[in-house]
Amino acid sequence: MRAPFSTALAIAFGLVVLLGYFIPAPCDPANPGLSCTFLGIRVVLLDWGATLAGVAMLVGIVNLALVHWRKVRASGKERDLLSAVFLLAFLITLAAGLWFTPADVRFQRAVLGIQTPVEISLMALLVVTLAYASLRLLQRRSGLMAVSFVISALVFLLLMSGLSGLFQQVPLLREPVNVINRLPLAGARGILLGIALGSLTAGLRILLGADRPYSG
Amino acid sequence: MSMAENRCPMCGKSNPEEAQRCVFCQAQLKPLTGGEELPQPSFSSSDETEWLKSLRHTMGEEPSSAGETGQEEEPDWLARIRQRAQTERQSTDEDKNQLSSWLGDTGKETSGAGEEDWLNQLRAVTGVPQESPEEPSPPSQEERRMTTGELRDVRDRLSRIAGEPVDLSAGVPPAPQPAETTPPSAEAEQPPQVTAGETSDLAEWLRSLEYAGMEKPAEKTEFSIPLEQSAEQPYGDLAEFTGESELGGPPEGEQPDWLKAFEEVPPVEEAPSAPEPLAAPVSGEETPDWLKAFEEVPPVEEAPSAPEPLAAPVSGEETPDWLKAFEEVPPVEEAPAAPEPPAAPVSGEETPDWLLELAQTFTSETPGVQPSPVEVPVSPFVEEVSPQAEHPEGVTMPVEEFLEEAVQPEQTAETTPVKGVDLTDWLAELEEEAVDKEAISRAFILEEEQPPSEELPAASYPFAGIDADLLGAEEAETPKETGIEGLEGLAPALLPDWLQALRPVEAVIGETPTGVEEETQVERAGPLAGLRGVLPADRLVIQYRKPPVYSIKLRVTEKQRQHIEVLDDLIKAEGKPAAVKREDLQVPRRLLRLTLALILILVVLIPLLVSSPSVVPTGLVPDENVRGFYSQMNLLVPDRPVLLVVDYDVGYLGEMRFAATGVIENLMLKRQRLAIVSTVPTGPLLANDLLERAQLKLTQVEPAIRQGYALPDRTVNLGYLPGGTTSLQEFATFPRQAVFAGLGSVPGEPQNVWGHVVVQNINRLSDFAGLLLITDRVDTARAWIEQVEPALEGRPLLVVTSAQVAPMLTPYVDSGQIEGMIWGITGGMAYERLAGVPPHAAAYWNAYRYGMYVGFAFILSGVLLRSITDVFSRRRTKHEA
Repeated sequence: MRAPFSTALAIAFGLVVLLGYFIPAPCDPANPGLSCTFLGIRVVLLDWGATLAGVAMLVGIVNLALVHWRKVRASGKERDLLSAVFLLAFLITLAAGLWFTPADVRFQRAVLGIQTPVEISLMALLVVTLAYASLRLLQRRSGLMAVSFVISALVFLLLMSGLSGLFQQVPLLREPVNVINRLPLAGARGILLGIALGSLTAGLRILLGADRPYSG
Repeated sequence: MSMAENRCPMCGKSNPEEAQRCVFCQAQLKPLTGGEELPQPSFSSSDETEWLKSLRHTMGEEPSSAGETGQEEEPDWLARIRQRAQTERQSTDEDKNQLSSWLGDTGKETSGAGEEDWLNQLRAVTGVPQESPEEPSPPSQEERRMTTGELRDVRDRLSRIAGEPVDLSAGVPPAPQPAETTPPSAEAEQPPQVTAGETSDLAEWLRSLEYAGMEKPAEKTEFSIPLEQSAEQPYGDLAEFTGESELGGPPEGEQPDWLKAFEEVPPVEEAPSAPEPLAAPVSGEETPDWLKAFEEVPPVEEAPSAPEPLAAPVSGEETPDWLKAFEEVPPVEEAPAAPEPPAAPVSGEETPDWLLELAQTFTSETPGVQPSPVEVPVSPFVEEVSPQAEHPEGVTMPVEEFLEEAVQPEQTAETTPVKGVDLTDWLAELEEEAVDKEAISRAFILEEEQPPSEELPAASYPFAGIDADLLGAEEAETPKETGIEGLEGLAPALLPDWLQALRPVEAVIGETPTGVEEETQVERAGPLAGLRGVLPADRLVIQYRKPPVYSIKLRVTEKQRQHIEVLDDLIKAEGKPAAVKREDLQVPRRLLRLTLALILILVVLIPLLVSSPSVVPTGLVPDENVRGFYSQMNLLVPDRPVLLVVDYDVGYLGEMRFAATGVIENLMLKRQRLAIVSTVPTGPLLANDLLERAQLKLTQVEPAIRQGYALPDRTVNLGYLPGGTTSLQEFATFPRQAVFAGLGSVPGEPQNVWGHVVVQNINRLSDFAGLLLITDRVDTARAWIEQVEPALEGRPLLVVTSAQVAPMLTPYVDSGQIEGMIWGITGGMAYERLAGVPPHAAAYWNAYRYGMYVGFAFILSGVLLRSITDVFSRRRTKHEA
C-alpha cells in the first residue's frame, strides 16, 4: 500500500470528525462525557485545519510576490513592468496595514477604493463577453442547444427586468410566467443533488482509502 | 566454286576472278583460299592447335627436325625400340645378308644410270635424302617421263619382291598374299644381283620405303612386303582414277583437271588424294605448294613394311642422318607379330602404347573439344600430310586411321596394331574411298578454312560484340563457334570497312577471346602460382569498367508537365493556412462597438440622472418571499445582537449593496445590535462599508439616526474566520475559540472582541437573536446552512443573496432551513417598499431595467442579422456554385 501511515491517519481523523456529527453536540463542561471527548478532538482538529488554511494563504501571498519579482528581474520578453507595479502596490498595502492596522477606516477605504472598481469592471466585462458569446455560438455551432441557450437568455433577461411582475398580473400569463420562473429552480435542485452525491462519494472514498489525495 | 565464277558468298553477285573482295559489298571473296589473308590453314583455332601441336611434337615434326633433335635426350620408348631393334638386328643378321645378296642380284639386273635415276627420282619423290653428295636437280621433262617408266619398273620389282614371301623375321609367318598379286615368275626369277654401290643405294631406297611406311620400327621386322600391291595395283588404279595414262601424266605444261580442282581448294582437300605425288613429277611442272607442304611434313605413320632391318646389313655402315630421323619417329611399339590380312591392315588386338599416349595427349590437351569424326582426322591430316606427298601409297589411309584411333582410342584398340602393314590394303581402301575424298575433304575444307573467331576477324560477326556485352565474354564465344559450324555451306565474309567503323566500341571490346589464354596461361604469382587455367584476376579487373551513368532526368511530355505543376500547386496550397475572408462590413467595426457602448452608457446614466430615487417603480410588487423575510425580521429579539455574516465579493457589491441596504436600515431603525463576521478577508471591510452607507442613508432621512445608532457601540466586527468555511464548525460550537481578535474599531488597542458590549454575553450561536447571511455564493450559503444553522437552535436564519444564487437556495427556503430570503435589486426594492425605508434601490432600478432592455435588443438584433446574413451568403454560395 502506498503511504499506509498517511492513509490510516486520514481515515482515522475522518471517522472521528464524522462521529462528531452523529453524536449529540451538547457537552457539559462540568460533566464531560463521550460527546465532549469527540467534540474536543474534533475542535482540535478543526483548529489545526484552520491554522493550516491561514498558513496556506500566507504561503500563497509570498509565492505571488516572488513570481512577480522574477518577472521584474527577467530579461527580454519575459520582463514585465506591470509586475513592478503590483509589487509596489503590495508593499504599500502591506506597510499601511502594518502601520495603520486593518481596523483603520482609512486603510479599509483605501483597500475597497482599489479593489471594488477592479472587480466590478471584471464583472461588467463578463456580462458583455457572455452576451457576445451567445451571438458567436449561433455562428459557430448553430444547433438546437445554441438556439435554446440564446432563447433562454433572452427570456430571462425580459423576466428579470421586471416584466415577470407585470405578466403575473395578467391572469392568462400568470401560470406560464410561474412555470418559467420555476425552471431555474428545477435546474438548481438537480445541481444540488449532484453536488450532494458527489460530496458523499468523495468522503466515502477518502474514508475507505480508495482515494488518497494526500499521498502526493 | 570455279575461278570463272567468282561469286560473292555474301551478296551472290559475280566478281572478276582476280578480285579479292566483292566490288558490291566489300565482302572477302576468297578469304580461305588466298594465302595472303590466311597464311595458315584454319587450324589456328585454339583447341585444334593444341592437339595439333601435340601431334606434331609427338610424331610429325620429329623426323623433320631429326638432325636437330638427334642430340637431345632420347625418350624412353625410343630407347626401348632401339634396344629391341639391336637385338633383332643381330638375330636377323643372316636374313638381311640374304636380302642384301638378293638385292644385289636385283641391282645387277638393273644396273646402270637408269637404275640410279629412278632410284634418285624415287628418293626425291619420297623425300629421302640421297646418299650422294650432289643435290638432285629438278629433272627435265624427259627425265620425268623416264622416271615414270622407271617407276613402273620399280613397281614391277616391288611386285616381284612382294611376291616372294621373304620372311626376314624368324618365326613370323608371312602375310597371306593374294594369289593374283603374286607374280607367277617370282620363284623362277633370280633375285637381282647388285653391286656394292648399287646395293647401298638400293638399301637406302628400301630404307626410305621402309620409313615411308614405317611408324613402327618393326620390332618384328616382317617383310612380307605387301608392297607389291601398294606399288603396283594402287598406282595403276590411281592412275586411272586421276586420269593419267600409265606411261605418263598429262601433257607438259598442262595441269590436269583434277589437279586444278585440288589447287582451287586448300591443300587440305588434296590431302586424301594420294596419287598426286605421282602426277606432279610426271607433269614436269614444279611441285605445287600444297605438295611441298606434304614434303615438309615428315612421315607419320606409314609403316606397313619396315625395311629398316635391311638398311643396317646392307650398308653395314652407320645409319645415315635421314634414317636416324626416321628412327626417331615414335615407333609403334607393339607391331603385329604377323601381317594382317589385307582386309584389315590396321586391325589389331592391342592398341600400341604410342598411340595410346598420342590419344591421351590429344584428349588431355584438348579437353574442351569434342572432335567430330569428320573434323579430327582431317585436321592433322591437312597440315601434316607431307608424307602422303612422298609416299602416297602409304600415307593416306594409315594417317587417317591413326588419327581416328587417336580420337577414338576404344576403336583403335581393336584396329590399331599395324600388323604387317599391308600397303595393298590401304591402297585398296584408298582406291575405294578416292571417289568420296573430294566430298569429304570439301567438308573438311570448309571447316578448316573457316576457322573460329581467331582466323576470321570478329567484325565478321556483327552481333558478336552485342553478345559479348549482353552475355559476357564466355557466353559470346559459344555463338561464334556454333555460328561457324552453322556456316559450313557458306563462305565467310568480312564486314566492310565502313560498317566496321560504325560498330560500337563495346562490340570490339567484347570480341577479345580469353578462354584459350586462360587455359594456357600459368599463374606466376600469388598462392595459385604454378597452376594452369587460373582465371586472371587482372584481366577481370580491366574488364570491369566504370558503370554507366544514367541520367535521372525524367522525360515528360508537356501534358505531363502541366499535370505535375497542378499537383505541385495543390500540395503547396495544402501547407498554406486558409486565408480568412475579410468580413465585408458596411460600417467599421470599431465605430459599431463605440456606438453600442455609447448607447448602453446613455441608457444606464440617463435614468440615474433623471429619475428620482424616491419614486417607486411601477409594477414592482413584493412577493411572498419578501413578506416572509420581512416578518422574520420583525420577530428578531431586540435585546440580543444579530449575527451579520457578510460573505460576498467586492465585484458583487453593486447588486448586494442595493439588496441588503434596506435590511440594514431596517435593523438600524430597530436599534438592533450587530456582530459582524465573515469567511472571506474582505468581508469585514465590506460590512463596515455597508453599515456606513446605511447609516449615511438613514441620516439623510432622519438625522437623529446617527446619534441614536452609533456604529462603534452598536456593532462589533469579529473579523473573518481564518479557515474559511472550515472554521464554521468550530465557530458554531465554540465561537469564542474560533474568533479571538476581531477587527477592532480602536486602532492600536489590542482587545478581545468578545469583551465588546455587543457580544460580551454571547457564548454560543444560539445566544444571538438570529443570523443574517448576505452572500453571493452557493457554497458559502450551503456551508452556513448545513454547519451553523443547527447551532442556532431555532433562531432564524435569514439570507440576502443575489439573483444568481437565489434559485439554488430556494430549496433550503422551501425546506425551512432558511426562514426568509430576498435576492437581487428587485428583492431589495421590494423590501424597502415593504419596510418603509427610504427607497434607495429604486433610483438604480430604472437604469438597471433599461439596460436590460437594451441588452435584450442588442442580442436579438445580432441574432437576426447573423441569421439573415447566413441565409443570404448560403444562397450566394449556391448560386455561384
